[in-house]
Amino acid sequence: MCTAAVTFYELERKSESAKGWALAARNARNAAIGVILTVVVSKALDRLVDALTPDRLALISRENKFELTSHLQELHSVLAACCRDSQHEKGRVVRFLMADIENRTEDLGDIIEDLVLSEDEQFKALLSDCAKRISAPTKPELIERM
Amino acid sequence: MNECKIDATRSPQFDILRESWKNSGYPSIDDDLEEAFKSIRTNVQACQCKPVILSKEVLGDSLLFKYRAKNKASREGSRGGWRFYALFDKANGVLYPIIVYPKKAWQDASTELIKSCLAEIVAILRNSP
Repeated sequence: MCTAAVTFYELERKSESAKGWALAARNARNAAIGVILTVVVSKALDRLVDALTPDRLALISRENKFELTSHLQELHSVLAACCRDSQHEKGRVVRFLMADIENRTEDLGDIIEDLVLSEDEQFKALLSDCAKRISAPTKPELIERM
Repeated sequence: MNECKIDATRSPQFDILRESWKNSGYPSIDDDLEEAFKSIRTNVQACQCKPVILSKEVLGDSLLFKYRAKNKASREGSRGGWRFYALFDKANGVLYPIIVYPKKAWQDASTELIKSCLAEIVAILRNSP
């Protein structure tokens, strides 16, 4: 199996694992189990977000990128629901644990955004236009104006 | 770390977007961005900088970075805030911010929403005088 396929399956597995734990934590009836599952979600999310580096994502084929984006969007949706639920949470421990998950959820949202936009022709045209305008000759005094 | 110069006046798109957000309920944008630029000038990888990998056809010789900046006017604290893309001319050590937009916390990350945000940015740029 090629490196790109290994990378895709690894990221897909990590994403599905994080989603499974997040769903379990959200549905936990027992507070103590809920805390334990929240720790597990946090760790799974750390592993996933750390693995979603631009270099690795660049290796994945276009088709697999769409599939991975879809998995990540499902996970993001579950995590965002967990974060919204936790706003009513009174327990300090869970609130503390959720702060980390909230930050990681935001990181994940940014990664999804980059994945979607990097395949969007309108976005690429906009960037290309910006790059062309910037590379056009200009007066040196414009630099460091801000 | 890597110091850099910032030229936020070079991209007309960035100017247009900044003015547009300022006039549509985001009065702190200039201060927010200046604060972010201060950190980035001393370290180009500050403000949770993330490289975005796109082909040379799109970006030319520049690198594309994405940054986060706080929105002081937002009640969401450090979450949400601003996102901006900037092209980095590595040879000359100059960063050119090009696209800026506000991001709300807990926003959905669906493709439809992301594309509708992009459509809003494109509409602002198209309708500018």
